[in-house]
Amino acid sequence: MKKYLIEIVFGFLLPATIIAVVSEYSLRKIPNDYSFKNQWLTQNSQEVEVLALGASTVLYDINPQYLNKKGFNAAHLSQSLKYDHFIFNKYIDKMPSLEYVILGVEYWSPFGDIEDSPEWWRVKFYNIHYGGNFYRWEGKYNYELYFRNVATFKTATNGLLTLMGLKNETRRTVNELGYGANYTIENRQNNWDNGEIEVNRHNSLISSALESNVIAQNKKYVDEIIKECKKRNIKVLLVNFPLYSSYRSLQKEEFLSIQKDFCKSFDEQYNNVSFFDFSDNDYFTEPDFYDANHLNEIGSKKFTLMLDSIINNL
Amino acid sequence: MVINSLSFLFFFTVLFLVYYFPLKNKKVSQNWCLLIASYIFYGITDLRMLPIIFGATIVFYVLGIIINKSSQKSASLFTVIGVLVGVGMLVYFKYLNFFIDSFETLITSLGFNANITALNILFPLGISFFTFRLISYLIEINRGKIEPTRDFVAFAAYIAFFPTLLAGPIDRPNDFLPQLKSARIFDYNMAIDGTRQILWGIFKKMVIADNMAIFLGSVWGDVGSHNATTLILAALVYPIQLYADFSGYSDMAIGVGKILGIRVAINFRYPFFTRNIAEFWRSWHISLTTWVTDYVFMPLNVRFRSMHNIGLIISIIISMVIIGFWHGAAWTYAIFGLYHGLLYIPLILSGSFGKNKKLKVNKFGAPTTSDFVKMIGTYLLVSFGKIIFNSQSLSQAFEFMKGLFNFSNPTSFTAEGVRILFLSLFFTVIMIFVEWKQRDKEYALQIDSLVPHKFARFAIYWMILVLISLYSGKEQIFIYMQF
Repeated sequence: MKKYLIEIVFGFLLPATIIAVVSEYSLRKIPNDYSFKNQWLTQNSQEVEVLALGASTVLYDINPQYLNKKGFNAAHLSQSLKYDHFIFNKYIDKMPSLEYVILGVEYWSPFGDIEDSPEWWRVKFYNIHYGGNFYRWEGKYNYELYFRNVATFKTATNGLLTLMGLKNETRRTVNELGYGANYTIENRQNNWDNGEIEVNRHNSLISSALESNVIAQNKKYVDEIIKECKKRNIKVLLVNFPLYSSYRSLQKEEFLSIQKDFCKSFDEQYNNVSFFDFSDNDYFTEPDFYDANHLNEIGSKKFTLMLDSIINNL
Repeated sequence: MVINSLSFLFFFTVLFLVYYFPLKNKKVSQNWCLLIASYIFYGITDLRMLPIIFGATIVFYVLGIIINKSSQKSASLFTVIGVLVGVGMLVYFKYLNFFIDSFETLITSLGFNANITALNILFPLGISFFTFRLISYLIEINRGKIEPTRDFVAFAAYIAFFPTLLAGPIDRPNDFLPQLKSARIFDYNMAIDGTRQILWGIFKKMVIADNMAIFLGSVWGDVGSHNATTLILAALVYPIQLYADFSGYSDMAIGVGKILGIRVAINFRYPFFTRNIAEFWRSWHISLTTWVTDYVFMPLNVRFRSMHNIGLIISIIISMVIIGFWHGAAWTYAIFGLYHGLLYIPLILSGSFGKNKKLKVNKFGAPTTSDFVKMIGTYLLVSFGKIIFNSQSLSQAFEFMKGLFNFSNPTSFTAEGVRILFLSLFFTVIMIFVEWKQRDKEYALQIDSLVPHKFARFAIYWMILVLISLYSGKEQIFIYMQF
């Protein structure tokens, strides 16, 4: 018995556990956008006057360095309203200077739930880096190692070497104020105009969500954010972002009208809410786009300055 | 809780420590421990299933004692009652809705108006496995092969033995119950053997079967949209997936049994190295085929003995249809069984049925050309039968077969899908190579004589662990759990 236990425990279980724990730890310690934003907000939230929340359009379209007030972009790729609500709630008590919340409500946002989308695997980042508690008992939402392959262990090794100061592995793509800095005109692909693909992807996501109660859920999240802001005398800007014509032309009218009504209803109901729709704005032309639904650094500068003037005049 | 999960590892570790430390050398307590663990294991899946297995265990336990105490005539009567209770359980829980549905179709096709609603019946997992155990217990007592056990806990632990409860093998009371009559003392060699067998089972299940499931799921999920090339590939790959999945589970169950000091029935003996359908069924799901041979085929064969080959053919076909139908309540399974029964006819008529010639190898250690051709032929016949087996309905099976000749449909697979398929085929080649080399062993990873050095064996186990860790596919339910 002793021999068996020694062989199994020391020969397999212990080394396998050590490898797994070290790999998981190393992967978690590789800097990424989530860990950076959480750390930044933990340290600097008391200074924030403008907080931007939302998904990729907010991430790539709002560069807080062009705001007069101290701003921070807390958006992440595919971040649905539930997770905007989560980040907002986590930091709101630590943001005494907050005056404005910019909440991106994209074409798909009222219907969107990251957990039911192909991007569900991002939920783990909120648990690991933001200390979230979503589906605590489901491995796939909680561990980096849950889905692994050769590349995962290679990354883990690089992470370990980084921890030891021998390498500089990073997955961070955002600048010091949380803006997604890699969607530049220089990085733009030749086939950048992916409007048809993107809008079809979003149309199919919306179609599959129509029957569920996700719209009501999302309404509740936005409602709670707005009410909390109202209590604290914070203004909320619900924003639709600039879209390239190829994307706009294939948006479905019925979905679009639900999305617009979703935003307008808050605008009408609360006096601290303003809805701004830039989706059909001629001011943004081809050189401003990185792809059909995201701006590049030129476009995002124009757009952020535009938002800044709105904020100053509100 | 599935046997290849971390939660099972935790569950089993706790059981192992309790079983061998505080309960060491305590037969009764060890049996209690097995029973409680088995009921926890079963109850975690669905608590409502526990009263069913518990009730059936009490009924068959009492019937066993009654049969033993009765005269020959009464004993036979009680055995028949017991068998009917067992079959009745299966009919009610597994087949009733199928019969209702078939009856409704028949009535409607005759021009009558039938509006019968299907019943909402719980399907207890593993019922096909534990019912066959219960039935064999009574038959063996009636045949005088075993004495009924007075130890209810041991009997209940046998019926609900957790490693084999959900997907077999179907242990026979003659082999299993005597093992519970004495305390299980830890046996190092048996435990190592069991652990290794679990490892091999996990490899087959997670690296081969689970990866193949992605490709096969997409093909069988939408048969009409795939062309002949894809369908042929799917038909050829499916038996491998089924084998890796089911034999993988059996290896894990047998391995867990070995660690607990209990030998579980063997279920597979390298079925892809068989040269005809009779050999195939002697190597595939052995615990089911021997069960049907002993309790269905043999009595039928005796009854039809006077009809010579025709009697033999009738007995085989009935047995094979029962084997097919055992898998589930669908005509596809019955046709699958019938198809295999028909494949026996040439063997019976040519006199090759029942002959068990040893495999011949050439100077390179590979099978001889003649044996190889026969193996391929058997594999193709089996693959064709599995099309019917894996189809949701007969119409889907026909659609699939028709699609085998349709080269016009385009088939689109993502590069990732193709990569995963080829990865699983690569590991299949490794599995088949190792199994061929080890075909005289109980399972392929029994490598003590092939790799005498302990550290080299450890390196091989580690290599398999790494492969499992890196290449295991998306977790899939064990196919045979649904039966």
